[in-house]
Amino acid sequence: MTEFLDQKRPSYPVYITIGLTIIFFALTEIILRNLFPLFLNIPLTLMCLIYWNMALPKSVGLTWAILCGFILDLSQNLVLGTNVMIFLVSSYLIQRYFHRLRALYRVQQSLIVAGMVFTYQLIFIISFLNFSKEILLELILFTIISALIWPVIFGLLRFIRIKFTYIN
Amino acid sequence: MYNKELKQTQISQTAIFTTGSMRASKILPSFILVLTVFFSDYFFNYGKDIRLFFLKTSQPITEIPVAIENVYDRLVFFFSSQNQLFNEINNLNKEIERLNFEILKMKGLENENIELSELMNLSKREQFSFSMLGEIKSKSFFPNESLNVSTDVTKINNNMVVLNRNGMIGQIDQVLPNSVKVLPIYEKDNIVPAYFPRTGLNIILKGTGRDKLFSIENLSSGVNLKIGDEIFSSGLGGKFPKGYLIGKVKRISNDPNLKFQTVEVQSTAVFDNGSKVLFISP
Repeated sequence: MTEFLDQKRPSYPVYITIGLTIIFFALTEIILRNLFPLFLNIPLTLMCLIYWNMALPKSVGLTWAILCGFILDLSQNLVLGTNVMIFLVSSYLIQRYFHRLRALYRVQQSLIVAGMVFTYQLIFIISFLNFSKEILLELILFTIISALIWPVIFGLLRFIRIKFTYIN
Repeated sequence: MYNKELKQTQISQTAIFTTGSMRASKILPSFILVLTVFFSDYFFNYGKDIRLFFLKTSQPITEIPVAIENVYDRLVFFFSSQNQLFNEINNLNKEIERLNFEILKMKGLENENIELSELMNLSKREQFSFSMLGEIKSKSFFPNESLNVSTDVTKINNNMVVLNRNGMIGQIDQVLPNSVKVLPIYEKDNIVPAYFPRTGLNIILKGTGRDKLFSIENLSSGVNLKIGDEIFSSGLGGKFPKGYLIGKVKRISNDPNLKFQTVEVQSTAVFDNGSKVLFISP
């Protein structure tokens, strides 16, 4: 029933738009990380990836997940592949269930995004064995903020997608 | 364009129990590749050079927040220090104004003290039969010059003379309920007994009521006078104290055909000077 969507051939404007938005979100995340030197931050790149995987799963693929994961690893001075693995799993899950996710209300989507952000941040906390009270507070705070800004990011990227990727 | 969106949404809603075309087999090669990279980097640190290169190339981007922060700090510092300086200058200007006002007040007070001291000394030195201080409340200027002086009016009478730090200036015109009205010594038709120290001649000065001038009454043509001769109070009649400078000869009209000469004397009294006066009885 939905094959025509899955099989739709992506065009170059779509690729460019997706690439530019992911790079933009990754840069914003890096800048914010430098601006507020906290252990955690709002994972804008992950949220951007979630959106594109949900909206245009055929156009995103796994290449962007790998690429922006490496960029974040390098910028955060982490072992190469740390972010990439999380992004790959996230992309896989989103693409696997994108039909269901698309049909959800925005609030429900926000909760799912919050869950993913929470898991993503938790992996970092566990891998660094850093369980201070402040960091747990950051974890909760950034999870809530991510859930709150998801509708904004969704609306913004949807607007960009409609504006730049449809060819009449 | 929006129809496509709508269609997509409708399809999604009906396909809520469907899944996408992504299979686990698709992700496995990528995942194995990433794991290889991860363990290589973790155990052998292969990514060190890449990391260094990336950090070097991305330095301008990572420094953007620092630059923004620096600019912000500088701006805040600039405006706060400017504002602080501006407020400080304003406060200092106000303080200067206040101090200037204080200085003026102190100078006024100092002058008053000097004046008072001089008048007190005068009073002690001259051994007047009666003397009393008064404070000038208001002044009227030429042509109807007068002073309104507040003092203990119960001890004042109309025959008293008024002195200030410069000398004799006037006499009492009226004793009012709380003050005294003083007219200048050169008031029109005011008579002052005087004498020339150079010749010892006693004369009568009469106020003309104009330009602080006196005229000398009935002065014989034979009297030798010079312009600039000083005239002092003689104390005759008992009203005015003796020995106070009254004025200087300003103009002499000596007509040989007339028995008397006309002489104009310029008063030296500074009527509107100071803020204190001394009422005396010689």
